[in-house]
Amino acid sequence: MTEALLGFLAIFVLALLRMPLAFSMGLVGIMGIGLTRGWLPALASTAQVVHETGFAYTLSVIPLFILMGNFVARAGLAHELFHAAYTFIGHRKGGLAHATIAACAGFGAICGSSIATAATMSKVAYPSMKKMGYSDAMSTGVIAAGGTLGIMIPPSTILVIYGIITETHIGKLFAAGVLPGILTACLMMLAVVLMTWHDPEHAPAGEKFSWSERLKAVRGIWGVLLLVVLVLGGIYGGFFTATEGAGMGAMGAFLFALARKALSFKILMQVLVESARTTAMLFTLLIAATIFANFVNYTSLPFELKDWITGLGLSPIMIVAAMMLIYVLLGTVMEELTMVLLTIPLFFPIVVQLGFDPVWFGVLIVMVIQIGLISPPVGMNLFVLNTLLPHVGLGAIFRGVWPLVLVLVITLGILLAFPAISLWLPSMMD
Amino acid sequence: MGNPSGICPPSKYRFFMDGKLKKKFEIICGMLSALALFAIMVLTFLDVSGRKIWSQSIPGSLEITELLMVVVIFGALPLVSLKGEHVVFDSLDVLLPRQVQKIQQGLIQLACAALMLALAYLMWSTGADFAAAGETTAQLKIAKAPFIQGMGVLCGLTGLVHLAKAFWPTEDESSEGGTL
Repeated sequence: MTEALLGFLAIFVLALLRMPLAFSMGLVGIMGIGLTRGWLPALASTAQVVHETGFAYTLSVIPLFILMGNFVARAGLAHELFHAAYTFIGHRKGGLAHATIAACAGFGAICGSSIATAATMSKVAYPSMKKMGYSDAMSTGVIAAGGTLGIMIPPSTILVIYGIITETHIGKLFAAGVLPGILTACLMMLAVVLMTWHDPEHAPAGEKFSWSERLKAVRGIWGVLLLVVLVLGGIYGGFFTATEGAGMGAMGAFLFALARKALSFKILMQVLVESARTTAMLFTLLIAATIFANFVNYTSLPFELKDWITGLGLSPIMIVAAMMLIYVLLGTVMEELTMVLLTIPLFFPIVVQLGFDPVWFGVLIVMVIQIGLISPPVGMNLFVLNTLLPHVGLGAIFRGVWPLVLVLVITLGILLAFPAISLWLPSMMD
Repeated sequence: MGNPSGICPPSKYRFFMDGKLKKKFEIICGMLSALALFAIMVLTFLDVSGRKIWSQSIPGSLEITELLMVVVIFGALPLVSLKGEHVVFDSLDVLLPRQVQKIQQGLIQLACAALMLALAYLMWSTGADFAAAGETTAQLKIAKAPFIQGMGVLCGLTGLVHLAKAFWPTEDESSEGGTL
């Protein structure tokens, strides 16, 4: 057990010295196996992990979904989504904030990244909210929090990664994210209602649109709606595997962007290289995390931790709740992907042994990441907005986002208490 | 998170990081990974629609996708390192004086370089073993060795990028990409 704890310690020290996480995990994993099992097995298993992760057909799901999101983002669809949502709900108090959340949810159905969703929406929604007299705190808070819907509503990069490292069915994970995503969006809108009661001047109602104008706005986005239904519906209905669906989605998004004349050769190359870079970065992490997990699994730590936790006499749900508490606290200061990749090899076997559904735990993991992404002081979505909107200080963003952090924590509690919200849709797939 | 410390040496030392070599490097690696990714997309589309609509799949398309995945990942890896897009913690940076940070950065880059160069050697020799055993893909009988040795070469290039960054540090653009 000591070896594994030293391994974790070494990763933290190296990471704090600013060694990229993938390199620190890989290095510690190889050294750990080398020192405990011998150097030949260490090198052989490293070569095998690199080789197997590289040559893996099913893993092509990652670049293909990333590509799909990037194509649609380049096609300038966010504008239309936001406008369509605005024509339906903009005339209510805080209408633009509601429309932002709805558009984030819609965008999340194409894009699997929270940061990309927040970044895209900041360009579209922030100027409109500013013009209408919304406070900076409120508008940036809503965009930061709405952005996190990108990783809950499928497709979701983090669910794919979770599915790969825990060998959980990705199609089921996607299906599991739908209702929690919608629930989160609804609760966020409820929070906006409360916020506008509290501060009505800073969230005025917009104009009202006629039904013909609304239908016209929807016509602007029907192509992408069709694509989403085709891809996600296809995966859900068992017509495609996740990998096949991702391929169809990427091609559809490519044709969509082409049809909208959003792609020159240069932009196409940019989108492709950008997606390939994200892929390479993720795969380095995946390879390193696998090597490190192999090392941890050679040691007695997973068993001893399991024995210790089950020996505490807590009820299973209390144990999972305690894990979630640890995640929420860690997420305020830690980078979330790091947190998950390091803890999954330890927590996941316990959760499975306690008899919980891995799909449900995956949804909870996404939820804690969502919370971590917007909880001050270290929240990636907040930093991204601060970079994109430099005149809005981090202080204002923090002020605007905290009620929504609270909303996400409440949602986490609901998902924890009612697993059926996550598990009902996937249960229909059997 | 970008690098808030803004470590930036005088430009005359930055002939690799600013020069034509860097541009060429970016174009070659970028082209390699971009074309492979585009090919995976088209191939998956044709294969799936062929199979679902005309019950006619493309022979060996799974294998080709696997080989292309290697090109996408390892072709783009040097670029990720070049642009400093790996996920990094930078919470300690504010606590350290700039001079110490510079030395620390250099040492970390050297460690990354050593790790990647070692991995390059490992993959190259693994590839050689595959070549000696004459291993090919199951269906199309494409030799796997060149791809594994290619992984080695690209890991080596990534190592060289880290080596260059140890001596001519650049400002990292961002970490995390579009992951979360």
